Order: sequence, then C-alpha cells, then structure tokens
Amino acid sequence: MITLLKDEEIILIQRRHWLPFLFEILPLAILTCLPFIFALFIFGGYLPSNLNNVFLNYKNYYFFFSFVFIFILWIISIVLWTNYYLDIIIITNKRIIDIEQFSFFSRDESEVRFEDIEDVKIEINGFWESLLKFGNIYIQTAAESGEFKIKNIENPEKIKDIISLQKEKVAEKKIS
Amino acid sequence: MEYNILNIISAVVFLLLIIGFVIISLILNYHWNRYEISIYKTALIKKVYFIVSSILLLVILLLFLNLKK
Repeated sequence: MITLLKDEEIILIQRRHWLPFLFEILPLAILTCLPFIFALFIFGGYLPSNLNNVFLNYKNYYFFFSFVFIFILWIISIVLWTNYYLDIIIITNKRIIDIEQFSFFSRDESEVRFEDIEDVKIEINGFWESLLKFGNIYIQTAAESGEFKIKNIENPEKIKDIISLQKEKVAEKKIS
Repeated sequence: MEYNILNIISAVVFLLLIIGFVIISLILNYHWNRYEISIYKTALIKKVYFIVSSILLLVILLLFLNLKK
C-alpha cells in the first residue's frame, strides 16, 4: 500500500509489460507438460514389453512424483507472477513512484518529484518492443540520484506525455 | 525392501511439500496484503492460488495414499 501525501492524487498506475513475464513463465509451462509426455511414451506401449513391465510396477510412484514436480512449478509460477504483479509505477500529481519487486523480501521503491525532473527520454529497442508498445523510460533528475530508470513499461510514449504535462502543471503552479 | 525405501522417500517428500506450501503461502499472503494496489484483484489471486493449490495437493494426497496399497 502506498501512503499518499497531503493533496496528492493518483493519476496513473501502470504495470510492466507482460512479455518479459511471459518469457519467464513459458519454460515452466513447457516443463509442466513433460511428465505427461513421458507418461504417454513410457506407459503407452512404445517400450519393449519386458521394460514396460518394469515401469508399470512403479506407475504409482511416477505419477506421485510427477504431481509433486507440477506442484513445485505451480508455486514457482505464482512467486514469479507476484514479482510481476507487485512491480508497478504510480504517477500522482506530485511525484512518480517506481516499485520494483525483485524477489521475496527484496524490493526497491524509488520516487522522483516533478520539480526535480529535468528531462524525460524513452527507449524502445527491438521488434517485440515496437510491435507491442513497451520500453524503458529514463528520467534525468536534479536530485542526487541522477537518472531514474523505469524498465519494460507499457505505453512509454503515453507515460512520457503524462509526465511532461504534469511537470508543466507543477512548474506553472510554482510560478503563480 | 525397494518399495519400503520408495514409500519412506515419498512420505518425506510429501511432508516437506506440505511444510513448504504453508511457509510459501504465509510469505505470499504477507506480500499480497502489504503491497497490494487493488483489493479485489488481490482477493481473486488468493482464491485462484488456494483453489488450484488445494486441487493439486488433493491429487498428490490421493496418489500418496495409493502408494501404500
């Protein structure tokens, strides 16, 4: 949960793009199918009968350990999904908050106020990034931290526009 | 003898799986509650997680009980 400052309103909550997450989860999905493919091969009568009889004696153990394996993959998937789900960027009328969940108990929360922003740059690199509209945003700040980087975010152009607009609004408010 | 060893290994694996599941569930629950943005989405995640996990654990339990026969 994010604690908002006085008079602070959330403008946008944006998650990272799902493609990098898909590349993480895809090997696990393939691994989940493996015990069933092996079962078809081992118990489907494709082996010589003497070897087939040996495997049939251990059929129950095979399925028990297969489901244990699938259960472990399920838990790993949920952990990866949680890391993806809790990785977000929040734009309010006062600041940008970037939350990166690396793993359990490893979390990075950084923020930059609009008055500290000097320059915003987006980077869309590669075929998939261009096709699915996601990329990185670099925010140059006047603060000690220097550059603020938001990785693999959806619609970087839209976010850049929102940041620029909000930066202008904050600057106007300051002058008036 | 061979089956006895396999049964013992299976029992240990099953026990470790249950312990691991309880620990991971507690940690996940802590993260979902502490850092969630949408209450409704988090409630849905919890439901899906516990329903799928319960089904898988039930299948594993039935297979484990079947080993003893």
